[in-house]
Amino acid sequence: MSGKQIEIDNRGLTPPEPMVRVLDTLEQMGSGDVLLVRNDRRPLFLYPELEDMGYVHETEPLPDGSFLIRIWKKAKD
Amino acid sequence: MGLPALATKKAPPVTLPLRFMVTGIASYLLLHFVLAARGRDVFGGDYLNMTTIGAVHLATLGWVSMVMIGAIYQLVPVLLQIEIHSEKLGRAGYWPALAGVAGMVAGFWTADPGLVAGAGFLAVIGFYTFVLNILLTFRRVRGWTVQAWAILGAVLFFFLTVSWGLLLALNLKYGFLGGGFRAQMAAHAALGLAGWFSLTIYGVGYRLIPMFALSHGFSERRQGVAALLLALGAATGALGGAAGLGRGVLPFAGGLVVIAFALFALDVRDIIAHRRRRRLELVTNFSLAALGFGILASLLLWLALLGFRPSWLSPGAWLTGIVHAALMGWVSLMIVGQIFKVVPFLIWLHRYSERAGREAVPLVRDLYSAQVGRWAFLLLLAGTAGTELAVLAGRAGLATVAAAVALAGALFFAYAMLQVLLGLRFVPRRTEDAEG
Repeated sequence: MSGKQIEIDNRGLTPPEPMVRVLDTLEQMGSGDVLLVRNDRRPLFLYPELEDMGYVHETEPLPDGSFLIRIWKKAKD
Repeated sequence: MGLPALATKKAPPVTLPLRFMVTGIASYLLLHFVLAARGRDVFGGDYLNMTTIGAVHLATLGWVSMVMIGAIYQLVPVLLQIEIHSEKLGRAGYWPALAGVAGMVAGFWTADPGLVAGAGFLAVIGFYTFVLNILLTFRRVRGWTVQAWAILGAVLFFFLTVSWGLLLALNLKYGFLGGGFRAQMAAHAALGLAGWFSLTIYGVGYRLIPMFALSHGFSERRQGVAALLLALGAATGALGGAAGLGRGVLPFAGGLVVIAFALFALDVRDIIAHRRRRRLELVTNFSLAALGFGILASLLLWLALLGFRPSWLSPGAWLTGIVHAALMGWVSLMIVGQIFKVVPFLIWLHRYSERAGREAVPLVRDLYSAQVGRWAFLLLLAGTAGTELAVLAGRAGLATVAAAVALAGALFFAYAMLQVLLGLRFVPRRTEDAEG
């Protein structure tokens, strides 16, 4: 089961616009899709929202100091 | 190193803002003990007693001003992207401020004018140090946003409020000011409540409220007008009071404040309507409750300035009702809500930000118990509303009972912050989100 991979680049945007863009994009995604987010910062206040909504996330620091966050829906048992 | 949105590399070490905020929280708790224990003195309508005057200074200086100083030290670098002029100066100013406020309140409560005078002098030094530090910081501002103007205005009003307080104290001994005691007090209140307190809330709130509600895309047209009207209302109220021009000027000033609040309320409604965070969080609940009290306080103030007073209330009780709504409702509840976000964040930054990504770290909100936070909100809301209703009904005894409920809320609030500060509640995270 593989879905689409959507990428958004939040670098240079001021809070809360980055998190708002992530949440708006997630709303339009299907259950098999993966969202890749490029952020200036670790989105500390986003993680609890994602977990409440049933998403799993992985954050990878990038060489230029920004962060890549991978977000996908938790598979139901 | 990715620092989250409430921090910036330019911010001072968290211990500078934290010490002011923790002092404020402790003062808030003490204040509630006093209101519950001595309610009849405070809410009885005859407010010119040492208990009430001490409590008012504890509330305005020990609680609100301390927290606001801490918030400004943390958020000016974040909001305006400039470094605080001197961290050392910031630290240095804390000690005279702390000793000064503690001494003043103790001096009022023990009816010791010498102590009040000496401690007051120390407090003025401490607060002037903060004002100087911020004014020097503002030399570096490049992008003058509404928030920048509001915070600068607020700090200048703080300088004026403290200076006017100093003059009033000297006047008690040397009697050089005109206008009468009530007009002088009106000026002091206008400068402090509308100028220092409310402008800080506008300046900081217009940024933090959308951030905490995850709101974007709302109109920002009214922000500048709201802040400007508030500043004008504070300034004309102060000048009118100081010059003894009661009749025409004060209702006009009050009207400006009411309009400013109405605009702010419309903006907050717009912000909430554009929120992406579905659940209403603790901070939003506190903010909405605070806003309700703010609207009530400004309407009551306006009625009072137009000469109205409920027939069953003495002038003192009427004034107590207005000040309680403004100070314990609007200002205090707004600040408590923001503290529930900012203090855990600062502690998280201090304790865990270096470790994030390399080991399991808690979520910011896991640093305190959500249940404790909920109880804090319910009891503070019920207690503050109950006290307000009782005071407006002229029932000091009932007000004292409601104050005990508010005290319970304050205890839950203080306990939640203790959990955060002492790290009583690390809930180990699953490591599925940690890098391999």
